[in-house]
Amino acid sequence: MTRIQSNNSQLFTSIIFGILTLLIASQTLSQYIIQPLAYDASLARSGRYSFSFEAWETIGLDENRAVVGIGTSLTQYAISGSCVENNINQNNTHVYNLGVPGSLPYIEMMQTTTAINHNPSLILLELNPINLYPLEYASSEYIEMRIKLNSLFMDSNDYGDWVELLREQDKENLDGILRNPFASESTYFNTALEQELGSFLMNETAPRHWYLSTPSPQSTDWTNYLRNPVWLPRYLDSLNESELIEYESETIAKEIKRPRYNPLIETNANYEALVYMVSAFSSNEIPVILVSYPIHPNAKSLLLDGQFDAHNMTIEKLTEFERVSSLNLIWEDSWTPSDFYDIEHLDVLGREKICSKLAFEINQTLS
Amino acid sequence: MDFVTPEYYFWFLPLVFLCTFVIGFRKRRRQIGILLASSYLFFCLASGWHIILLLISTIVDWTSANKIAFSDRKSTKTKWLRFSLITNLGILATFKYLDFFIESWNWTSLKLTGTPELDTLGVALPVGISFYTFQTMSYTIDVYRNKNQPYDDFLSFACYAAFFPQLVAGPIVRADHFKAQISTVLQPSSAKFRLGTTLIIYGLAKKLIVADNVALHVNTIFENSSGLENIGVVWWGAFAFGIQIYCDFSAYTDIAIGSSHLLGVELPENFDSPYAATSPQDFWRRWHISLSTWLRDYLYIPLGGSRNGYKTMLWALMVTMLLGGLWHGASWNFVLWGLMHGVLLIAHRGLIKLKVIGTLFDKIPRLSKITGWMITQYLIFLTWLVFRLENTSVLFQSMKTYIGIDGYWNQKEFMEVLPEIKYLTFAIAIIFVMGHFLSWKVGGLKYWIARQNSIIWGVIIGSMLTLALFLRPAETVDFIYFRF
Repeated sequence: MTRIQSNNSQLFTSIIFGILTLLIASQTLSQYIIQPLAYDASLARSGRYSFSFEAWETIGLDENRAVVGIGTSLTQYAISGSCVENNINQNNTHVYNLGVPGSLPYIEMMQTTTAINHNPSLILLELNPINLYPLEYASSEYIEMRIKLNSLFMDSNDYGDWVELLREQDKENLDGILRNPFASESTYFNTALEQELGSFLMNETAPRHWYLSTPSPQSTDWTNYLRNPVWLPRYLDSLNESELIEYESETIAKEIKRPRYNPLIETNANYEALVYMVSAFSSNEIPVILVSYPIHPNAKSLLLDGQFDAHNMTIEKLTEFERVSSLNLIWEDSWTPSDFYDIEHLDVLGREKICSKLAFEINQTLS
Repeated sequence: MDFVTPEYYFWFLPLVFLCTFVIGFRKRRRQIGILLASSYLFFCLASGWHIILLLISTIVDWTSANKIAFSDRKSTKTKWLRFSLITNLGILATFKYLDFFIESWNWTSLKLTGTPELDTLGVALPVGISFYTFQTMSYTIDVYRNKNQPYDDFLSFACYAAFFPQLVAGPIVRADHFKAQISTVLQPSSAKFRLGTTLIIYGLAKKLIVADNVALHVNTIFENSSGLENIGVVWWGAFAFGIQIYCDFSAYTDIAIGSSHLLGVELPENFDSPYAATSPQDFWRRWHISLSTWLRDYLYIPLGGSRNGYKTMLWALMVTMLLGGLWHGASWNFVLWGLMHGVLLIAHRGLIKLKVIGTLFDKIPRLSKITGWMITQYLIFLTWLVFRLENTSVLFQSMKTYIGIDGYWNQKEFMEVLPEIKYLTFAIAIIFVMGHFLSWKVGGLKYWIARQNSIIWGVIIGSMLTLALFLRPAETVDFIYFRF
């Protein structure tokens, strides 16, 4: 057996250098290999799954007042930051759109501590019936993927009371020093390295996907992208006449019966997450507008009596918190099919309509 | 709990370390008591009630060795030796081989007579049974042969039998070696700590970066059984499995030796760059050294060894290798694996007796060595197919393709058969080959790393740990030798 010479001070120095290398190497690999591929949708289907925490960094550095929309793709398709900015009275206000496709309040609550740390002027929190969708019906793979991706971009300052609201199986996907060290990095590093090696060896770089990817936070497009996300061309326009009839009569009828349009309050982790977010923002003196985005008029006409009661009750309950108001656009009759991209997302015309309504509410709240 | 679970590093090992050197400060017996208790705890967490078998083995060999040592009558000594062997081999036969024998009997009787089958017992294999039974048996045999004196106290012997770093998958430690290690108070030292840490992280890197990533390719190739007529696929499968098994098993050994070093106990090496071997005999001097020396001392030599004529040597060698194969697992492919290694060893012994070979080695030593290395490694990797594949049709198809019978080259198919992560795995394999060569050159890369100054050591160890944590696949693969 080889004899090793070492005294206590040498051992101490060795360990210090070992730990320093671990910290530097892990940061570097994560930042330069994994994160860029997370933004360009190589590691997950959408770059928006990964962009929230970096977006908050940008928002925190913005010297203007920040109004931030949080929610799902309903938010993504509803808010045009520049349009709203042009319609509000205050010049020094930026409106950011952090809507993430397929998201859930249960996942979005992970950014609560970060959001509070960056002190936004106003939160536009999406509260539609689909946000009260029982968590049990949600894809566990999606939840795992989002928690791991969020974990990749979080540091110790981003953790908060929301951790206690996570289910035990979901806590397993959070990185921890003692439990699951670098769990998220290990999930995506192999794939990221494979892509880098493949591009290097095959000398090909795949062009950035115009819709699924997000710009790099270092790029000049980033800030504009946070305010004005990329939107797909209207889905309903891609259908021919018979397909459109089928969609508006049959598909919408089927969709409206699905669990995501039958909101629940009791024993629903998404509801708990909404309560947590609203109470946390409220107690930190951050005003919140609960925005219920409109749904397609055909869908609305097919609703059963009391189908959205849980949604209405949630609005009622959450507006009891201080500095919390609501903007429920579901029951407004001004929405026409041409405002919609599909059953629930707004398109260009709808975005223009909602722009002034949001601006009005923001003015009211911030003045 | 095992050597890749965070619990081992975050609470078990630190707690044992602290207890051994704080509660057991300068108190040898207390230290041994702590190591024994923690070993039993480790075993219970790994294998549950099977600890009873370990206790039986310990008590039987402790009693037998004492009876042998303190008896003057040869017949009494022999009787107690038999008792020890029957008990240990009986436990091994029941818990490891009984179902295998029943299945073999069923297969034979079904083919011959079509009679109803016997039911297998479905006994779960106790963790580490092959290792600790061999270890405790060797103790009793050595006392019987007057080669060793028995342990002075039961606590020390029980600690030898159950010492947690090497309990589950070796190395198989000899009683006198361990006795010498714990004969004085265990002392921590910065040198031991540095070496121990190096070995643990080096082992983790081998396991998590190399073995577990390469395993994904091996499993895909041999479990999907597609493309097995493609020479590239089978060669890569055999090569990848050769890398996997070495990195998996030697990683376990490194972590075992490293953990043990932290506690002040030195364990013997188990590997010495086996893929640098230039002959089958050389391979067995470098691969699983503690098992091959055990088989040599307690099987090959008692069966006649090489000093009783050529025929006896052939017989002893073949029986040793067949039983050595069977030791690995209750399956015919391990018997075939042992048989193939027996044939290779015998063929090698025959070849080196040929005058022409001797002349070649004298005249062109370097070229002869390189040729020997290439042929040896080609055949060693062929035997890995036998080790890996239990399914006979898959095995024979793969072996045929490996040696070029009915095989073809198709690069496109090769790439399609492999899992999604390809280039990275190839890169890992290339780095392994370079590292193995370097390790052979410097006499053990891990020891070379441990000797570096603080800055270089810190950078290498920190980088290896980062890569091990980052590159580990989502699902860790169990240590292969846990099954044995």
